[in-house]
Amino acid sequence: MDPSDTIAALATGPRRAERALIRLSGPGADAALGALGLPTGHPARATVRGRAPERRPIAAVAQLRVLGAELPCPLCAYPAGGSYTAEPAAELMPVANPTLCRAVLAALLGSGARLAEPGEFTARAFMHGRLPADRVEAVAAMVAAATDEQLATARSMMRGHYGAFLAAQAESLADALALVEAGVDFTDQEDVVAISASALGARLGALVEGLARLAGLRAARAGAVAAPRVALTGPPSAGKSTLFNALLGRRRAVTDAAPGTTRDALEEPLTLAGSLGRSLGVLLCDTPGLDHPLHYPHPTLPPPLTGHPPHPPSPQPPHHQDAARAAVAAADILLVCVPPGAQPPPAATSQSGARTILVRTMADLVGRHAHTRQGDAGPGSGSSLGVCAIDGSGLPELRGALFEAAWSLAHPRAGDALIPRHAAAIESALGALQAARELVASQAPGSASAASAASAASHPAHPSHPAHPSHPAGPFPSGRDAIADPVPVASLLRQALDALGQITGGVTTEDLLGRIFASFCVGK
Amino acid sequence: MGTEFRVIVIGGGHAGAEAAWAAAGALGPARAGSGPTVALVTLDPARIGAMSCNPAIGGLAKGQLVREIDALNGLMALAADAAGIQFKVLNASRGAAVLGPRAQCDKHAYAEAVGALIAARPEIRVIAGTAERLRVESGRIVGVDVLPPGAAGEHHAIPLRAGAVVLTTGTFMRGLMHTGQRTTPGGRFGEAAAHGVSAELRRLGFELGRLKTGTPPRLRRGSIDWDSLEPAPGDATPTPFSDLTNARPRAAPPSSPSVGAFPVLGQVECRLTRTTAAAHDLIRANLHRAPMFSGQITSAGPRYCPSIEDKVVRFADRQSHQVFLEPESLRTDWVYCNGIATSLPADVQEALVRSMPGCQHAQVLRLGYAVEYDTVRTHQTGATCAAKGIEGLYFAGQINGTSGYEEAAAQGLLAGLNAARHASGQGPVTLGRDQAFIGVLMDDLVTKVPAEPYRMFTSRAEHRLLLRADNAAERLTPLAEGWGLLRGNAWGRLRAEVCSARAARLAQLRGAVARARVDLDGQRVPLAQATRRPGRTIDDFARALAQAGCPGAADDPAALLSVHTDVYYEPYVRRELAAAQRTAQAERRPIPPTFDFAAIKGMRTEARRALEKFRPATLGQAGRLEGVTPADLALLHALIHRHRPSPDAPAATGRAQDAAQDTPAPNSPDPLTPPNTPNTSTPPNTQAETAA
Repeated sequence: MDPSDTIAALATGPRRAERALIRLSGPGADAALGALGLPTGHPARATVRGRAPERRPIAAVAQLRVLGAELPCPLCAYPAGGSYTAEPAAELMPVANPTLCRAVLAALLGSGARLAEPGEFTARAFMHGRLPADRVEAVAAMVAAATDEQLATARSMMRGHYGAFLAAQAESLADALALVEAGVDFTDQEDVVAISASALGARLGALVEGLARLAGLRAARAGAVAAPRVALTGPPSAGKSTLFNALLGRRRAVTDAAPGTTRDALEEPLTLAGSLGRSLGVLLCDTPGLDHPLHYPHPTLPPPLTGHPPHPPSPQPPHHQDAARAAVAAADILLVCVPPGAQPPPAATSQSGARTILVRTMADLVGRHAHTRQGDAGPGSGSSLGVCAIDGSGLPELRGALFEAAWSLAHPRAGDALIPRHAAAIESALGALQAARELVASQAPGSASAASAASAASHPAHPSHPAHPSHPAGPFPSGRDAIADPVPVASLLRQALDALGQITGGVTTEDLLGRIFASFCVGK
Repeated sequence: MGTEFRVIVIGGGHAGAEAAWAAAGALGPARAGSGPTVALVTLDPARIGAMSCNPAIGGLAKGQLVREIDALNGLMALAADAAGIQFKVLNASRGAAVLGPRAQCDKHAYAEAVGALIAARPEIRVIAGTAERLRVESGRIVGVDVLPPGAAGEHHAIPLRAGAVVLTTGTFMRGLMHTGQRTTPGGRFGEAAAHGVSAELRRLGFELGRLKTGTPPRLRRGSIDWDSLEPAPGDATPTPFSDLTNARPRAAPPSSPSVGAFPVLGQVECRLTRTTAAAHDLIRANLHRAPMFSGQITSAGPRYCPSIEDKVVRFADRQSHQVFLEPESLRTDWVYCNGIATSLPADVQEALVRSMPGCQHAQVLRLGYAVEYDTVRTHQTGATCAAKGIEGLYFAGQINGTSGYEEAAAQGLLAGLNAARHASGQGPVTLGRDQAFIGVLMDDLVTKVPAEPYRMFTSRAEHRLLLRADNAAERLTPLAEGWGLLRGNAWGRLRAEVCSARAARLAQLRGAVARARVDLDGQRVPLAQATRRPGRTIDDFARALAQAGCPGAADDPAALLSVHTDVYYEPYVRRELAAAQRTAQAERRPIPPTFDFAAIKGMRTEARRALEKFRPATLGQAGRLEGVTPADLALLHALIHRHRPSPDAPAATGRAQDAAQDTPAPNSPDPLTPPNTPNTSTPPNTQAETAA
């Protein structure tokens, strides 16, 4: 916490609102605003009167350049003499769209600001003497309360989302590091067997892959829009349009038993009500029937050109199919309609990463009213619901499932403010792990560089320390599969672990030593 | 006998000897006619520097500590070089950053070497006796009442007076030795326990803990079938610890036989044997008689140095454990059994020993034993070794919950130095985690109360690539000079010479590294870049330096390796420092000693309790306490920023602030940075911050 740099943070919570509040404070506040194309230094549109000029804030509606567009954004810029923190500061009030807010914050962080620690704005106000002494305790209480809430949010987030996964990654990494460290600190112990280069390489590979997947998932979620698009898809005559009308509660699409009735994609806004008084708008989209709704989701990709068409000819003209594919590709959530007697698609996953919900339409025809079969709830797999649009059975369940899926997309996680910090931690861990993996690979058997690392260790005056002679093979992976230079590898793994520790909680040296002592008989 | 001193050191073990030595160095030569300034009080002056357990100095991570002690003009390295009978650099296959120099010593020669060095300093008077009473007046220590050997009753005690006292009680505070069901009060074999100090510390309100350690049986070499056992030799070319040992001065400093004549003693081989499955069965059958398992000992022992009974229980699948038979001295035929520390009863120990190959007829000269002793729980100790709450009182060594001669000596040095500075009205000094293993040691101790005897490992240091045995002098000798440890004594003068000669050589090599260009993939690239490429050896490195106008680069292999290691690890060091950058600024920010943690309102209770208990001296320490989150730290930062000590606060309370001020910036980690340029590891405003 250094008061000489510039800090920024999203000050508003995850709840829905018109406007979000992004705070910025520090000597570089003007420069950071300038980078977003916002007015700095001089009065723009309006100033608050009744104060000495050096304390006068500037209120303006500025054009915010972000995500390649210009958006009007109300803001207040405060000179040091008039701000909460007694530093040059600003408050930006962009539209409360999580994606937009993240982009604005990222732009500020990219132009010299760093993410504020919890309570740091107040801490700065306090440090600069802005808050009078008699309010010290009140401030302290406030900071702590905010902190506890954030901690609670972080914990619940940990439980609900990627916490278990990250904790497992950190655990595996800590074990790997302990094994590397055992080969550094306990080389004089006969019982200690250091991890081999190939075993460590394999473990690091799995860790990198897991974290990269998480980072990718995060990026995909961050791109989610405020009003998720929900597309109905399925083979022709699956009852999509009937369901579309039933969900809307009015007749909007033409329905007919004949296949190919729907020719163009239809879009209608729909407000879904959820539990706890929550409600959410989605864009519901009816599509022409697709023979293979989950294939070729990208509108520009034609079906594969082969001598034999892979599927029976479609009753739909090609341009209808294109419209359907485009709608499917743009969707955040797919309602995959499966008529009675049809097989659901083999794997209910979408190549575009959209969530899918399997809907067994015309449930009355199979005599199973509102038959509900819960599927795997993981992302992309979805659950299967039986619905009859005629008698309305299963519709409330479908609305509920749709609401939850849409809500979780529009509100990726509780505590949005923590996401950039987590993302930075995961990326930093990934960077260190990748570097460690490359280093280990460069030292692996068959790699020419093994010799170079070893050369750093050999010294004319320090002949190599022979393994304990009574141990025929020596206590270490001998020769070819040993990690030639474990210290920088350990250094990188430690950094990765520390980075993950910012999310999962730190792993101390004592923990690491404990792992070693528990695994090996150490001590003469 | 005069009873007025500047510093009194209680205890003549490895912490005490080093404390007295450092205090003498910092206080400087006594004025003519004024007598010694440092009193070293010990039960038996003949046993100063005794090696009560393993007769060895150094090893993994410990070797780095010894090199650091030497760089700070301590005595341990000189004594080890004088007494070493087998030298070996451990970890040579693990990279240059973690080389661990180790020496097995003739334990009698070692104690004599320490005793001779102490005797060679006119600043130190050795006094036989036990500390009976700590004299404290209005929160400051003013002296110690010492009871001479053989005297009984408080009226025989001699009151010694000094403004600073260092307690290095080792295993003697309420020491209790166990061999089987037999318990004997005492700190070391044949020596009595010290009960007075323990009671005094309790009286003064300190919270004490209790730890356990142990030692193996000793055998008579003549009774072992020595030649039938596999030899374990040392390095063909012994490497000394001390920078002075390799110097070739016209006249060696007093009591420093290794200077210019190394190795001093004849070198020996150890032998290797092992325990057997039958002996393991015997141990299992007798566990009910083992104090560690019968409930007789409840205090915690070190996991990294388990007793043989511990090994047999915890690693039941192992049929055998290695045992090193290490000669303890060239003069006697005592052999140390490294690997079977135990407190089992005599009959089991004898049977265990005789079950080992080559030891069928071995005669046990002394049984192994476990010893329990009192410690001061270290939330009451500062990173300067100062006791919190009583001005002028310092703790060093096992009293702080550590284990090992090297860990003890490192603390002794820091405690003696700070005691002397306190006695002379100077501010205290500390070492950072990025400066020295000693800094890591102290920081670990004062942020986590050791639950088992604390031992150094290289993995405890975040900046292990920087804290190497080879660059200890470069890192620390300039600090020693600044702290006045090199002035006024022959060892310091020689060290200053050696250090500046080496600095010049390193500067020359680094200059050549900066200039040198070599061919790589058909291009001329900087030498540093090529050095990290596969297949390049240190010989290629030396050749390139010679071509860049630095002839004789290979003539000083130690300096060459040091520079090569810097260059080789430079990208990793840079990366480590970048990761540490964010916390670096708060790291050394002092917390005023008058700061009232209990009065913080609104902080989470867990965090406030941890802060109240440890009373950290810097924000860095506060952040490493268990239960303190980054958010708590932010609040604390804000509060200390506003804190102003009240005018009626006690006078000499600037400890933490002074500590941070007097701590020079870490040494340059960047091998390519020429000396005396702003260094990259220190955030630019750290200096300004701590000086503010």
